Amino acid sequence: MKPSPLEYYRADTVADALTVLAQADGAGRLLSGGQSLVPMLNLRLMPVSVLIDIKRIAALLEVHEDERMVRYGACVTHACFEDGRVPDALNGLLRHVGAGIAYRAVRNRGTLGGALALADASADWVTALMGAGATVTLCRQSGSRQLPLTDFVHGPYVTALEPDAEILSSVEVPRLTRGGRWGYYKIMQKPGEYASALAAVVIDGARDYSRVVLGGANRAPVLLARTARLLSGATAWSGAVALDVEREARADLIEAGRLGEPAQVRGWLTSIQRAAQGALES
Amino acid sequence: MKTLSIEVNGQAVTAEVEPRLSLADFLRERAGTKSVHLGCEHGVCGACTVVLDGEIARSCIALAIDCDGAQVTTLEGLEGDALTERLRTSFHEEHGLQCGFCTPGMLITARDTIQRGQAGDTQSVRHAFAANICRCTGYAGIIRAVCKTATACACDVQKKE
Repeated sequence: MKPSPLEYYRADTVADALTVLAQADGAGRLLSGGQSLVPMLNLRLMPVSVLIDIKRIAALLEVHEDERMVRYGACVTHACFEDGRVPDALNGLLRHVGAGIAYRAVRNRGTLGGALALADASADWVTALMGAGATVTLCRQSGSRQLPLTDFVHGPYVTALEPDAEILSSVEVPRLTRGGRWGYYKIMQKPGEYASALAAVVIDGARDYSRVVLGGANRAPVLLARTARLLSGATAWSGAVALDVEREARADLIEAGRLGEPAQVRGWLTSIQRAAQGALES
Repeated sequence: MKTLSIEVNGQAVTAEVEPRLSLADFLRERAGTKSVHLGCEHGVCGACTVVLDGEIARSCIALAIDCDGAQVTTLEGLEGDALTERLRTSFHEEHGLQCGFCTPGMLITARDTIQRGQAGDTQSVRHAFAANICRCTGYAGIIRAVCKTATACACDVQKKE
């Protein structure tokens, strides 16, 4: 399995990459870690004539932080989170998520921005960072725009990114305050595989913030507002809370038009319950 | 065609390549390092795992041209590396291989897992080795071999201290 013939361009700056992308006239594609893109090229699932490598652009590797948020450059790798080489805006959630993506050999190259821009339905960062309330910055030749991640991801492999005119340059993640809690759980046949169900729970009372996200299921991740409201008022995990979570999550899924086969729904509800348990027991 | 140069096991290898050439094919066909095995060619099986600029990577899903100027170590380059030699012995003793196809990738993953201190218990080792597919041994021997080597290394560190 080999890719079709293609051109390769190593970009030095965001402006440089945008120029080459525009010139490629619809046949260009940005390459960061390449851990999903190159397999797709090998399998010839994606028509690409010009690869524009952005992983060495200094601006996309920067991390800025203040007391309110951390902004990660798009080309920060999963392994950077796993090893604690970048600050964790959510007191351990991002490290936990980074360490659980695929395998170490993949985490060393795969990037945060690449995963978000591809937006696979089971992508860990999409679900986890929607839970965190993250915002992405999209750069174009004439400035930039910011979008909440919830508005950026439309569906699996479908995003708001203008493919020939924009680069996802950074991701801003609000900090969890001291008493904030998180839980994350995914269901896979073996570690490192794409999850069939994954859920993120973030509860931050001091910011009046509570969010529950269900990912996987070959659809865009879904926000579970009722479940989030329930958990914002819960103080400890118990069998009764587990039943409440199941009831509210089921209602959320019905509201979102997202009820599937019973076995599938069981997987979704279980991942939500276990993420909620993780948050309340943390 | 583009000319690129990659340092493979300490030797610069310069070649003219098509941009679509994978690092794995570059290593096998241009550098002659045949320990790099190609199983799935889409980043699932781990047989092509190498050390790229100090970190393990799957060479079948890295383009050679993307690695222009990089340093790569394959199993050939770990001849004489103390940890790799220990792993070889443990794999032999614990029946960590049968046909041998996955073994180069297994050894490179094992070395990295132990060096990062992630081989402290059987469960962690089992998780790490979800990364590499073996279809002969059933993994029991591989996991035993890695745990045994990790324990021996930990003992050495304690003795030195």
